[in-house]
Amino acid sequence: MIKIENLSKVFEQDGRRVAAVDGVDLEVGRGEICVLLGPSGCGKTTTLKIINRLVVPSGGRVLVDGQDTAEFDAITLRRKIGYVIQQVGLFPHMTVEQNIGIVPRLLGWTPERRRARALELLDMIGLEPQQYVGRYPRELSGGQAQRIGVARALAADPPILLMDEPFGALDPVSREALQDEFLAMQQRLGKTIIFVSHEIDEAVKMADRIAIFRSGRIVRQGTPDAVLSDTSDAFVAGFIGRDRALKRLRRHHCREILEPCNRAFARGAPSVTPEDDLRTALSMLVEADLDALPCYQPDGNIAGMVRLARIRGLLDGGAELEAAS
Amino acid sequence: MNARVLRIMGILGIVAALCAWAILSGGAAAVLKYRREIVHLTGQHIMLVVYSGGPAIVVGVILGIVLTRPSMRRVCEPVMQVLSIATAIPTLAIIALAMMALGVGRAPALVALFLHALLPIVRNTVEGLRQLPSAELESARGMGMTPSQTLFLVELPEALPIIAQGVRVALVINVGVAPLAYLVGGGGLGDLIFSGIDLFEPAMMLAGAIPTAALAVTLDFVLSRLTVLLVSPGIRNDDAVVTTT
Repeated sequence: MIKIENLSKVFEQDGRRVAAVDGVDLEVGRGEICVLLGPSGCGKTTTLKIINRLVVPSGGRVLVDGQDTAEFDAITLRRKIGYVIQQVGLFPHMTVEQNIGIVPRLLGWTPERRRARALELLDMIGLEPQQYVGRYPRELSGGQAQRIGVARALAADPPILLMDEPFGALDPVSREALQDEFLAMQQRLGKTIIFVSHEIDEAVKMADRIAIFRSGRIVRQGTPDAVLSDTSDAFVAGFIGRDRALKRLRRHHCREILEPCNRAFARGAPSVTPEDDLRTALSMLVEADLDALPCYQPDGNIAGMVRLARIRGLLDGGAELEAAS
Repeated sequence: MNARVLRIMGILGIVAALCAWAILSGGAAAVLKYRREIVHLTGQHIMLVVYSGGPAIVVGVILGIVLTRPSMRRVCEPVMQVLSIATAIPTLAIIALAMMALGVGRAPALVALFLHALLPIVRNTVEGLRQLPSAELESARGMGMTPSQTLFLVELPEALPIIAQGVRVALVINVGVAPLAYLVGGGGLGDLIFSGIDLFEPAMMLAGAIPTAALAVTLDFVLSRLTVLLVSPGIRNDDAVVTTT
């Protein structure tokens, strides 16, 4: 869907040439979330802005569906790519409806169609349409504003979404909530998403694919599991942190390692559901000093059990499997 | 809202008291002797303000827009400084200079008033456009707005309260400066004021001064109402929008 080839961007700064992006190659498949991860000033945002041509590259090219974006008119290109930034950038003099309807308006939709689309999107992002459609940005909380920001980017139903630390300015609780909502939405929408983040936890949670940036280059890329289990590079290992096992377990769920329940668990003992992630399961195992937990379906029927040994086995074996793919 | 009503009531009360005093003391009759001149010269006065202020708004706003375009970033500061210095020249001196070039009559007065009104309008337009958060400009661009769409859909509507404030200040001050037009034969209520002073005729002077003041206050009120109507409720600086979460 999106293919970046040998991309570079050189800025002139005080007479010196600084390479913000330096030979980046990246491929993102249709419907994938690719997270560009790295410390500030590593070139991830510049790379993102080259994709919708807010920044013109010094070298290399970006292909969308096999077509070089340099051949498109930049204005037309941007209207086909959703764009969400950390500061949201809603226009304070426009209502929520007008803000969501901007790209449709630029594309010449009728007011009725724009309104219908705004109502539909508000419903999708979980804000009561009639209550919010006429509000102004200053009447919204930070989380609500960012939801509208996402709705605005989705308004004309672009196949590609670029998101620059979209949840970075939110408090941890709303951030988690928005990430979850966004992932649930993405399940249905299947957009191709490039997502800039400086936070490893966010990246591991959101990404189908992670590219770790350092000084304008990609130092590692792959599935979150592969990136997390890679210890060969000191920079990557340092960036991920020494608790990478926990981070990996967050991506896996109890249902993946369920075993038939062959022992009796006390009533009221700690238990999990198949959809709980393994980090939660591990935490409960450690806390209760057990080597296995019962796993119940939401309706109360036993689904199986989760053993500590299987969690360990997953951390050992999974890495090579994922890295090879 | 209540405070505003009280304030208006208070002002009306003072005006009523002054009127009563003026009528009872016979001063009102002396001033109203000049009512035909008042009507005629008020018309001229308004024209002086309109013919100088109208072009000043058009030129000032356009100049402000041009100066804030990214390609003009280097030129903006020097131009603003030149304009500030030009405004420091007393209006009287500008009228005198304009008279040397254009002779007597309305033209030199209009030129002086135009220049006088220009700076507040340019300055506020530049400031209003400059204070726009860069995040909004970036998202406008990122969504595929052309530069002119960004200007008309985002920049100007958002800068409008500040631009309108500049226009208001410029025009209201112009009403107060316009009497100087008398000195070059430009007409307006200055005729009554200056003649009244020269002839030691307080009633004649007041016949010019009171309508001038009334005109300034009325214009200020009308322009502030107009601003409220034009500015989006989302950025209006009042208590009309109740913030809820």
